[in-house]
Amino acid sequence: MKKSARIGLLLAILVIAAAAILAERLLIRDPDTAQAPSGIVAGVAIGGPFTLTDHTGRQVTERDYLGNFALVFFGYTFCPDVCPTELGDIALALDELGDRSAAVTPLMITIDPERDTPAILAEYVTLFHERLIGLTGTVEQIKQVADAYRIIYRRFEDPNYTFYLMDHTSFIYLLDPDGKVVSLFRYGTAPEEMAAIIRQHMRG
Amino acid sequence: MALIRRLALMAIFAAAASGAVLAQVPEHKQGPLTIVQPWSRATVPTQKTGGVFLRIENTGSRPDHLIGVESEIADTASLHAMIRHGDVMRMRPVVGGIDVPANGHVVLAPGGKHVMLIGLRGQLIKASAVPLTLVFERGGRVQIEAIVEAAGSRGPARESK
Repeated sequence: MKKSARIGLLLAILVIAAAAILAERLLIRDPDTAQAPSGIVAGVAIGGPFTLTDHTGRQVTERDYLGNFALVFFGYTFCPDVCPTELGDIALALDELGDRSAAVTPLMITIDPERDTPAILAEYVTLFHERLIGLTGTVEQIKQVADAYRIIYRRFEDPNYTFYLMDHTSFIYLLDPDGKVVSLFRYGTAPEEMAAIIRQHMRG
Repeated sequence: MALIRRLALMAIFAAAASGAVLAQVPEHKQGPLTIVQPWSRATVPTQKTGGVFLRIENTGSRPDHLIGVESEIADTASLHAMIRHGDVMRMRPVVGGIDVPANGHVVLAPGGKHVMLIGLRGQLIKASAVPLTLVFERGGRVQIEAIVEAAGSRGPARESK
């Protein structure tokens, strides 16, 4: 009896743990966006209107970037690893496109508006590409655009540090000249692959 | 005669050239540990963080453990790791250091484990060198210099060994 009760308890703990892991995975990795191969988004509403401030301090909306393709990356300047890698990859993908890269506007939207002022972004963007545009906004404006693009971000505070880090979805979206999201590149997508897919959409 | 002189000159140039190639792949050796090609990424003055990436080779028959990092260039230097959780990237301090297996190696690279410099006291300028001290449990303190690459670099072009 006692032994079976113990086994029962153990099983219950395992089931709860498994359910918790599954629940967190499902929460974080939205199956709608996660299962599309090589990031092609099918039938899911992603993106939409926004009002933000660019790195020169000008108020902008999504309409300012229509007429050109756009690569949209969500990140933050305090990030020393993933964000420079992704922005470097965007620059490489644009290089790969050669003359045609002029038809693509690279955009970085910060998910850390409290630290990333237009002035901070203005310096940061110069590190990666001469046409990279940094966008920031109020906490509410950033939340709105991140939600629209299904970007998950949250502050992580470590009691041992005097600063905070951000956990965030590291996606790069490709928008067509009508502002519609036509592709999604996950972290680690090779710049050549990005360029190839952009070229396909330019033809299509 | 002219031919011999030319051959001698060629030999000198070849030697100089191979020396130059070696100089481009900085290695820091201490005991069984070799720190291969440490590098970092350029920053702008407003940027307060930087990453350092490298490869640690251990020819010893006993494993070692990277337990800490020190640098004069930042308020804090610590070991961090990127953890990919679904599509969310999280950066967290590494608890308990980084294992360096016996007769093996470990790589600190973008998207994985790395040294994080926090509170940079100066800008990291491309092609400059960042002095750091790696602290190993067994191997002790190893002084290295990380070469600063472009901001979006994936690392110095590395010849396959």
